[in-house]
Amino acid sequence: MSRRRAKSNEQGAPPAAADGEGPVKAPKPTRLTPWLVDIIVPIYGEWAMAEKAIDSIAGGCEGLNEPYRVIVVDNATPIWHDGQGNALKPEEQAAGVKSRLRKEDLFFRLDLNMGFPGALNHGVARGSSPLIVVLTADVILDKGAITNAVRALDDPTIGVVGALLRFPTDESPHGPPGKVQHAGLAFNIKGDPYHIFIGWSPTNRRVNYARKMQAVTGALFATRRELWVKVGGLDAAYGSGTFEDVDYCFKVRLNFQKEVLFVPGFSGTHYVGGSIKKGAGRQGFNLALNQTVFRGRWARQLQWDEWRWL
Amino acid sequence: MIVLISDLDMQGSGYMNIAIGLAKQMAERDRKVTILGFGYKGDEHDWPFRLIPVVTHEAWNITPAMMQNLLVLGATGQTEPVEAVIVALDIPHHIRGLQLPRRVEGRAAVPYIGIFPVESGPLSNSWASIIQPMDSALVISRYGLRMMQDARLANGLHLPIGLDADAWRSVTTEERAELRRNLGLSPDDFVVLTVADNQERKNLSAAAKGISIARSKGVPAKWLLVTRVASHVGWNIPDLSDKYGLGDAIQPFERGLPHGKLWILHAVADAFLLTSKAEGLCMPILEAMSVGTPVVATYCTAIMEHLFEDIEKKKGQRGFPIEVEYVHCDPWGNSDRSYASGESVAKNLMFLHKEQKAGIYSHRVREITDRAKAYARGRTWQECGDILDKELRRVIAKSKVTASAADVSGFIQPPTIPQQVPILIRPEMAGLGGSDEQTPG
Repeated sequence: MSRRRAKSNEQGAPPAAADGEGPVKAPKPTRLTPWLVDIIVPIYGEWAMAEKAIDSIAGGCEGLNEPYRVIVVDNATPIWHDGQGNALKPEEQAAGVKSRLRKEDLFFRLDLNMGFPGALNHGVARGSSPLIVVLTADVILDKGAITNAVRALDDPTIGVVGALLRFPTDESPHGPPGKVQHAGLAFNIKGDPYHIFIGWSPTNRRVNYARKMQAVTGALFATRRELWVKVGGLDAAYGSGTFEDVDYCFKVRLNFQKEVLFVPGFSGTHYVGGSIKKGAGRQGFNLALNQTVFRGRWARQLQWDEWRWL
Repeated sequence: MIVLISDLDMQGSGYMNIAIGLAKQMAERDRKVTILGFGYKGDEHDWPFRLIPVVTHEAWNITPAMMQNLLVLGATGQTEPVEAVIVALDIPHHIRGLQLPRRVEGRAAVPYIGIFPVESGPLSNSWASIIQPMDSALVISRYGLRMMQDARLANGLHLPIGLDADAWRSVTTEERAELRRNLGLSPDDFVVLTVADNQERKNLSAAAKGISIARSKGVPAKWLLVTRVASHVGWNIPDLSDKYGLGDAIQPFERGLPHGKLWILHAVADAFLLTSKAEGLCMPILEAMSVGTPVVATYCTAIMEHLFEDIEKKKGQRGFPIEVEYVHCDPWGNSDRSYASGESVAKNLMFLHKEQKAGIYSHRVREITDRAKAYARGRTWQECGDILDKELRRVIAKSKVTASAADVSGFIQPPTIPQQVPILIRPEMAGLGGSDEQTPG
């Protein structure tokens, strides 16, 4: 992995030549941090779900052979009452998650709920690794998932890597068990984004190949810190969330000329809505407002693209 | 690229089978096909062509934008150029179909092939005038072609829609007995199957009446009815059952059954009954014939050519015709509607019941069903595909020849964004209601 990364690093250095003849080898850049990847996990209340997500990280990094760090952001989870008069303090709720973290991992709590975009921005700001993986607390990674995302980022033209997410097989109120929940976002003729191939088999040939797309979901994605900083992270104008992920992808593609790549090997199970049952989900996501904000910014750049994939 | 526009509602649309069958045929002939499927909701498939969903209620608002984009994308090399557009829908829809964009600046217009049924004649002047400008008008029955010729339309051709004989295979006696047992049918039950939408043209009340009369005369009929059970434009099925005293002799099934389950219903049936007032083709009749079930159907429109080899002389019988009680002129195209006689339905069912012994039909009936089976199975998709392919070649070649020099000169500006993107202000965006409760993902 380290050799692969040296071949196509973020500075866009030319591929190293074989020993002996040919051009002089490009110098291997020095990484200023011991970690290659920061994995940011924002949590608001659904600790049990988050424990499973964190448990899946080690498997997700199988084959990576590079150090990574998990950064957990408690997005100001309040005191919960269990219905029998018992009040659980946030630190008590977080105990299970904390116990799963390694000494190099990081846990911190926000005093105020910042919404999904704000929590991620804070999480990324605490890290320093050149690559970032955003892992929502309701996504369980497949083995090697993060390794596959990192491999895709070996290509310096790629700015964002999107994931293949499946509905769970054990509990699937939002879609058919084991079928596709997310395989990239397509845009219909009216310019509305939607989860293409939702409900399809993940192995269908139309689904299961890497492709450049206009946008991918924020539930699980990988990107470069350098880009994240240039873009300014996720836009807090989107409040609790929705459309901030699409907005980020558009900025990466159109303002910084990097591609958004869907990679089916970057995969996991998405317990849709599982991360927001107690929190933002109750307040509701302002989908209509966020859609208006998004359209106001990007209407002229929306392209009908579903015909490419269907 | 061929753009095919049709109804792709997977809950029982007759057009879906036609569109999918034709698209497969074109793909087998190395044509790139893009279907704009009205009512298609993005269900999984592995067909060798593009299938793009079009929400039915806004179909004619967004299809022109899709067509325009495909034309420009093709002309600028972003995808294959559009060579022809095929619209397979009822005749009135072709008014909108013919208004679709079919040319980009500097290119000749792509030809238009209409595929449609003529449910009943005579073809009115206004409907004939819809068909007349089509580069090719493919009608799916011989009856329809005759109606077009009577209306002096010269651009018509019969497109014999194919049937998948393997999918509609016949059933062995043992298999049939077991399937009937599994469905709780007794060997004595005389099982009548109807597959028809719950709407006025299908005249389900005539079928109910006929079955009721047959039962009163000793036929132990059980009616398996595959339909839209709760239809706001159709019959209230429980009330219909009460009216004709059918009780639990009627067993309704919601339409859109998976193929395997529908085949089982065909396989257990002693007769297939259809009392339609008019039919443009009627695939369920052909499917029943292919399985080997005797068909009892109204002697009218395209049904006639299924029931007899020679309609004029009534020779080469393939099914059992129901007499028409009377004919009226319908608002749908001012065409005729033929009302099946309930007495005649009963007479046919009684005859078939009498001709059966221990579930096996007499030689007399088998001769008819064997002829029907050969007829239905002789309708191959290969032949249908050949005819369509020949028409495509003809109209595409003609469009190239007839394009004037002025038509084909000039440049096409490759647009960076080849589409119009309407800015939609929805009520909920303007604070006029609508729910914000959404699950993100």
